[in-house]
Amino acid sequence: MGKNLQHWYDVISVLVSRDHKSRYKKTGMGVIWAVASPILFLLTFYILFGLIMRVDIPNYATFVFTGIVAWQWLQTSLNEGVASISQNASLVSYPGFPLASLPIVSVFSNLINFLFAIPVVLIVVLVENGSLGWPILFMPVVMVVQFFLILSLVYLVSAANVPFRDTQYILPVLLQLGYFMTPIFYSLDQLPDQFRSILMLNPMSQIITAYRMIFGGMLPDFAGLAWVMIFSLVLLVVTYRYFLRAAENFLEEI
Amino acid sequence: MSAALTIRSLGKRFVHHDAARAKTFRRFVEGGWGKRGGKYDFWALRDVDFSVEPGEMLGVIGKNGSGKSTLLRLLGGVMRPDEGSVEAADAVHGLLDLNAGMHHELTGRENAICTGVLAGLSRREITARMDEVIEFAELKDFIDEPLRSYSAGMKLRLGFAVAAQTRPRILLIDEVLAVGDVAFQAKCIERIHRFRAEGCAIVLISHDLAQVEATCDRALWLRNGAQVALGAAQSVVRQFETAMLEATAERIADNEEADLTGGSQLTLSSNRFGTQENRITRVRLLGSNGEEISSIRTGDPLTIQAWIETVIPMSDLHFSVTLANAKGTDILGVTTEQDMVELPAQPGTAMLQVDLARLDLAGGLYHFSIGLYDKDWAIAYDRHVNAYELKVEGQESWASLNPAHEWTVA
Repeated sequence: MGKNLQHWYDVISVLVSRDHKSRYKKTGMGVIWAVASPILFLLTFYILFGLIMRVDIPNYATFVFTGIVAWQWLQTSLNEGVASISQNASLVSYPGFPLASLPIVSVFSNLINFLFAIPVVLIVVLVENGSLGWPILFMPVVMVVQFFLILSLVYLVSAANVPFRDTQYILPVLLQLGYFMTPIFYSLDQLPDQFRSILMLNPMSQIITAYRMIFGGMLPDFAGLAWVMIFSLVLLVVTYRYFLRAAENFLEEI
Repeated sequence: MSAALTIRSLGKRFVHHDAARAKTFRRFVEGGWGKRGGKYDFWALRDVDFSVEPGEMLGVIGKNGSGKSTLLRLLGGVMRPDEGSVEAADAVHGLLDLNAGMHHELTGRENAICTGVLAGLSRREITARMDEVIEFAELKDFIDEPLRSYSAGMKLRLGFAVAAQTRPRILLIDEVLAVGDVAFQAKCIERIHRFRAEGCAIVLISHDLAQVEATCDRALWLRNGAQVALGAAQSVVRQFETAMLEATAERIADNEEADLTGGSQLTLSSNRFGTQENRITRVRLLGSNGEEISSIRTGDPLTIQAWIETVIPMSDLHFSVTLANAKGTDILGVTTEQDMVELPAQPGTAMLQVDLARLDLAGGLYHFSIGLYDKDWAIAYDRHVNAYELKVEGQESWASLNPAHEWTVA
């Protein structure tokens, strides 16, 4: 068991490092893109909603940047993860390869980009807010919750995409929808009550709100986070089992 | 000593859906949601029983499509059997796809670490043995270059050099030895023999009968998914070779009887070509009354009937009919692809008939060629070249066409 776990760890770490090293090869700016790309997003939103449309949200740069960076982790993990099985036929037919590690690799690979962006978020927070409070120590807790939420979804889409390639075409549409259903560039306070309570059922709303509280020097809503964690773990059990069931036929359908 | 690998009445069934169902979403919609296309299943492997002892090397032989790859996948645990069981006393390793997991933008060294971990080494172990990998692969000057600058042979050398660092107890090998230069091949074979000497149980799939005979202790012969023979390598290889020769001779004999049309005979490699995996078993030329003929008059209709016998779904095949004149120039060609003829989605036998409404040919001697090909026209399964003579009675000409014509002088 210990050897097995070590093998999983090694497999995930080499594949994550392979993804990371290959991601920015052949680009002029290299790994700077990991930071530059969220900054460019931030600028677009900040100029559009902060300066032109003048959204009435205090510390709008922090607000929108937090939303973008957290959402990006989910979105890029899913977009990469959806093809993690279907585009890796050589690994699917590799004796002894732990296939269930591939979705984990997708989530970790994109966690790296998230981690690269965090210092930039913190700088924006310091510039806008002046200080960082001690609740920032709870950030890893929120990240763990988000990790399991994303992972449970990646198990679902990666397995579904093998027999139904349609998944990879439907997914971006659903993600776009999710993007608008999550308070990323707008605030839930701007919405009528009934919509607000519906959107708060979206686990990403809870997660992004928790990050915002933490960056604002406040404690997150632990009860809300706990519900998201429970939801994610239950979902993970369900989707992981679906993945294992589907895995028996991957090679025949790939 | 107990067996390293024990296989008991192993069976794997594949379900094939109608080709149309899987291929395009449009056809799926056109076909309707509830309606399922033709579905059939076949056993790719059935009732296979054997075991491999530590230090033993078993060769698996058989024609394409006999179930060798399916067997390998079941042994590797990447596919589930529908019947029977595979019991492995230890982790199963494979020398199957030596470049699995490699990324062309990363360097040889980075890829070696990745591949080494996939092959079951720890990250530390493969890093520690990197010098041996480089030496074995003979890639000293290239190890820090990106993989995309490597030739196919260099990539395989790297892949094998990494695999050579493992200590497998059970190893599956699929034809990998057929690649790379001769010197490196010899090195690989030597390494495999060392695995065996160290007590590794090896299953080798190969088309190279001489290699199986020379390197394997025992051999297993598969035909259409069934175990035909299992025993000493030399004896099984002999049986297989004998059966292949007999089968070829038999088939040609069969055809000489059935294919006699217009007095021509079919002889393999003379006017009959192709792999013979899927075959045209009989061809007839029919006149307007349905009687078998070998000559017509200018402007007469003609029907060509051909019987085919296939082991793959017929919808994966193309059929062609060509008519050439006495000079050998093709003057007519029709195919099931051009005419979008839907062939059955199962393997088996079928009669294909093409009715030519009228042949306005000048008098003379013509020959039909009939062919059965794969979907890409890349493999010829059975070609009867200029095998069916057609005599046309009528006005002769230096050219081939002679449609009804009238002259007017004004």
